[in-house]
Amino acid sequence: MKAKTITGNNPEAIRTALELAVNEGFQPTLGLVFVPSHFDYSGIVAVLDEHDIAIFGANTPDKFTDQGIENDLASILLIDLDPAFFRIVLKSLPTSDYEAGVIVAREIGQIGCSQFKRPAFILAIAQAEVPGEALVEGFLSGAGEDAQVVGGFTGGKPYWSEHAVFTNKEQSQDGVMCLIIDQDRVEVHGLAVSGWKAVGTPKTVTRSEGNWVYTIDDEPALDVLLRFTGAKVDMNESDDLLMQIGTFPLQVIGNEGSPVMKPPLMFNKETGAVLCGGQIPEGAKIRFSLPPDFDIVETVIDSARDLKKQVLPDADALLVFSCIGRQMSLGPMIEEEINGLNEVWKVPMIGFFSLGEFGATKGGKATFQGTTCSWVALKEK
Amino acid sequence: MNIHLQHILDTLFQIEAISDDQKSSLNKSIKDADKELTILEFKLDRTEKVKRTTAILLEETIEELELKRKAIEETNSALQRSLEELKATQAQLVQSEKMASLGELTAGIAHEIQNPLNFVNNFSEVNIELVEEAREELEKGDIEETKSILMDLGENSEKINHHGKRADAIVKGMLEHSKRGSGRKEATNLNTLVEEFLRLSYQSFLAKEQKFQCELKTNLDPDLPKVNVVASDIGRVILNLVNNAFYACDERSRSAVHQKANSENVASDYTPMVNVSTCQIPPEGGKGGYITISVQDNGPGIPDSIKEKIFQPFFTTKPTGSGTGLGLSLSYDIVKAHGGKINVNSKENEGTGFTIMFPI
Repeated sequence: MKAKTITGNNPEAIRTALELAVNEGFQPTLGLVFVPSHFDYSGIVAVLDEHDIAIFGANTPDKFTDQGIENDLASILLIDLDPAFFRIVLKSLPTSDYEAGVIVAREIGQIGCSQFKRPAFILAIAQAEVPGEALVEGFLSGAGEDAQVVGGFTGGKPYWSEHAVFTNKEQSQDGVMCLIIDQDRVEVHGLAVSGWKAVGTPKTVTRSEGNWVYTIDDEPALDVLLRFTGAKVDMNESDDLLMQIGTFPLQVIGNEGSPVMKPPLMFNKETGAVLCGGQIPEGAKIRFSLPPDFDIVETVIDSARDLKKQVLPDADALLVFSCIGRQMSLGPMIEEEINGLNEVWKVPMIGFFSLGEFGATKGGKATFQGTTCSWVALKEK
Repeated sequence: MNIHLQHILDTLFQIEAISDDQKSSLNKSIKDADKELTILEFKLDRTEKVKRTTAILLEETIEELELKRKAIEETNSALQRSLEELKATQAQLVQSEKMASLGELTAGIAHEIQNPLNFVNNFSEVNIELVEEAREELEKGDIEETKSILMDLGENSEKINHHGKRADAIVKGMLEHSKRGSGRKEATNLNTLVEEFLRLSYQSFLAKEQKFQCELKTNLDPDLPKVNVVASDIGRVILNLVNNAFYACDERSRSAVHQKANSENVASDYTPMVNVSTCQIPPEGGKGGYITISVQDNGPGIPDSIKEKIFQPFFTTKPTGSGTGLGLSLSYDIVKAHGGKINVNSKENEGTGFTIMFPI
């Protein structure tokens, strides 16, 4: 399997770059297309259609390739994988309802199992309010508890509602898009790494609905967050919350395994509720967290180095879904993290800064988290 | 780029003496330095921000912990008060149990006192008659007969005195039994204690259940040394175990009669039996010696399902109002307070044996 990344600020630039690659004998069949939030992608779709390239596409403001972080251009990872080895499914999910999320994900999981014996699922989700946990639950119930589920929620400040996921023929602003890969043909290996540290005493979420947390220890959630972090938030800018305290996500303490990170994204000043990157059920115990030490960058890169050494000496392409909170918390060092990952296999790479990530932490099964860097390397067998 | 680095770069680029290669190399170095500076600035800024947030978080957490500490302190005080109330209630319950066992003894004690009182009454009536007879003999001038009557009078007075003292001892024992709190440990003859409380218990039980008949067996070790115990407390334990044994036998006896009444073919050959024994087990093989008191009955036995509960306070199988459920619990505490053990061995339809073991 060959792969190549191209970028361009309009369809013609993409056409030129694509034809240059084709002239070199490259025949891509799959394109992972990430374009800026306001970008009209129809022209790019037309160009890729001309070359029979299946599209796994998304509007998302903060993204990167092996060429570095680039927010203004359309970025595409082209792959020449046999179309028999993958499927692309896009399902609209107009509601944030938990059960609806489970059902849609389960349906896709079952499609994967009907197509391949061992499917892996790579996700881009445009429906920002559906609990990621619901999707993971659906995929695992539809495709088995050990199913590989990797990906992220697209979008980000300041374009919460103006992003879509799209294929050659469909697009949806509340869609769940999935690239299903046959693991009998393509090795899919990855890991999700966080690094945030819990601080303060455990508190209890006393009222919540889906991803909205209304009260913590019976106090409005926004009041608690602002009081304990000392953050000054522009009360007229609901999504300023992410900018000010996205670096201090809530850690949901589970009965077993690692705590799950849920960064605060937005607030409702009338109700004092806070929208988090994932569902926090009523009764859940939470703690605040501090950003990781700066050596977390090395930890993430080491996780890939270890995998390369032990399991996957060579790869064909690398996909990375890094939490938008990491970008804020690591600042210019995020480039080191992205470039460092790229240096491990030195293969074409694409990814975006996400509003919640899917992936498996070391030794665990697939989960949904915030603040993680979830990466996955692909290698055709 | 940092304004100062940009100035340096601009200046260097204007110097003609520097070759293009050198300029290119300098440009790269200055850009790397700018990048490092940017990262350092960011690290410093983030560290400051995290420090500030951590300080606020710490302050809020300390305040929160302080509030929790106060709440715990208040809860603790409330718990302390509840504990004191519980202790007072427990003390009342212990006293109630004592009084209840005393109540059970009343019939037996009445019987015990009635005997000496009969002697006192009879001999004192005889003495009144003897005094009259002596007076008559004196008037007759029969000194020898008068002396003989006076001798009888003296012997009777001794008997009155003896039985008076016996009644006195019984009353004192009863008072000792009802005394609040545990008394002093004294060297006690356990055989005497066993005989006394077995008799009292049986008399009491007979007063309540007049048709009850039971074969009483005692097998008391004549060489038993005296044991340092609080006699009144151990007496209560013996009384409790023996009372329970009689109760169990009576229950089985009723059950056997009922069974016979329902079936002509079933012969009721059940004879209630309570066997109380004492024995000394000398030290052996590095293990210390024991003195044991065993109370064995042939009642219905204790079902396995409740064996573990019988020493729990307020656990009773007796009908409501018939038992406090504290007897065995208090017995356990008393034996434990003497450094001893109390074991139970029971088989359904065969009987129950309690064994108290005191270390020597």
